[in-house]
Amino acid sequence: MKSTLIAIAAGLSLAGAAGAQTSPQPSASAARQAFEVADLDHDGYVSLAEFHKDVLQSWRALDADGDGYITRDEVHRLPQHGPGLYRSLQRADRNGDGKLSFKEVVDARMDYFDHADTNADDLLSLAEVMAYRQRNAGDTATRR
Amino acid sequence: MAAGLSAGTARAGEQFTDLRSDGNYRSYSLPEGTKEVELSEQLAGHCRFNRTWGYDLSNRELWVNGGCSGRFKVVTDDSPLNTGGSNVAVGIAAAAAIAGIAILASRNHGDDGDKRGDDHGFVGGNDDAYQDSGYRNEGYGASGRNGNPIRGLGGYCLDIEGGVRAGSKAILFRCTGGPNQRFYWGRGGELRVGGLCLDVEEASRSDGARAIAWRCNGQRNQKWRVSGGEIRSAMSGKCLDVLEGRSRSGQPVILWECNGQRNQRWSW
Repeated sequence: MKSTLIAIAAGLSLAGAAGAQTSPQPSASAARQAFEVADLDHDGYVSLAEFHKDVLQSWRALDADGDGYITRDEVHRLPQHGPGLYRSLQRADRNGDGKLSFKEVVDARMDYFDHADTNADDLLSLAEVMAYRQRNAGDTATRR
Repeated sequence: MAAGLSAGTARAGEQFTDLRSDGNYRSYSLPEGTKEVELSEQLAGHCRFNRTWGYDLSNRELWVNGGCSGRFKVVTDDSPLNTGGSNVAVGIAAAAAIAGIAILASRNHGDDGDKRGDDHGFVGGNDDAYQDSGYRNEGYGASGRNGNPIRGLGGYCLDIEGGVRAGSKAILFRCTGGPNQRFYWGRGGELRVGGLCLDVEEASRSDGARAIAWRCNGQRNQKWRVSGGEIRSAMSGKCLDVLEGRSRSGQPVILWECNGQRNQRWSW
């Protein structure tokens, strides 16, 4: 996948999206940048407290009407990318009710945190974040 | 412990509430319109997001567990923080993170013509309590080396049947304070009891798999995560569960798909 978040933001089409991977993986530089932004105290680690802020940001970005659920409509509102994104979000919908509750979003994000935090110290290092990205580069479909 | 509101220092749209876990799961109903909760001050224990404290904006519940006591800032006014769902790049990054394609959703201001303006307050929140490096690498709750009981359905305790031996099964039992009921969290996410580790028998991912005591080996079927009052297997994502929801001594403790029922709620 060569599409990057920045490319999408610049309005390029997602022609490269293929198969099960319907959302783009960030480029290495975008991932590094996200890490730097998330590491609020610049100590080189994203702590649970900092990850909480990141989770909350992702929640607020998608629960547009603030009703406590991310619905299909709210995801489909994202121009061009909505339907594919919605499919890729469905795995987080554990009770299968067609919308994402706050707990489902936190649970999904914490699962990824725990997978990325390979030394289990509750801190994400840049190396762990980049290794996570690398592991997902091959096949996002098999990851739970 | 009841939550106490102290509105004295709060700005409009903010309030502070104290919530204390004395080792049990405690919760507090968040007001309608709550947009954000943050730990303002840790009052006791080790308060760590989604380990020993957390919240749910869908159910509007704030909770603490495992001895965490804190003063929490509850934000109901979204105007200063709301980045809205209107920014496409932010929305895409958020969705990619929730789908697990990216680990972080944070966006650099201005790297994409982002017009969020002065929202530094959002990403620059004060978490002074967390900057104390003393919190690092410590377990959360039940971390005393002697261990603590883990209480489940009906106030019964998580127990290794007949004493801690490799292969002995986890059951519910009346609380005795015995070594087969004293658990503590290891740094690798393992739940230790009497020199062994709580383990999913034969690394089964099935509903109904037994939890047993086994020699600690660092494998994934010995790693556990807590979320709210749930104790989940890091391997299968399933929850520690009291079979058939019956609270009585000897009742098997198994793994089951997480369903939020009371027989999957634990406190420690």
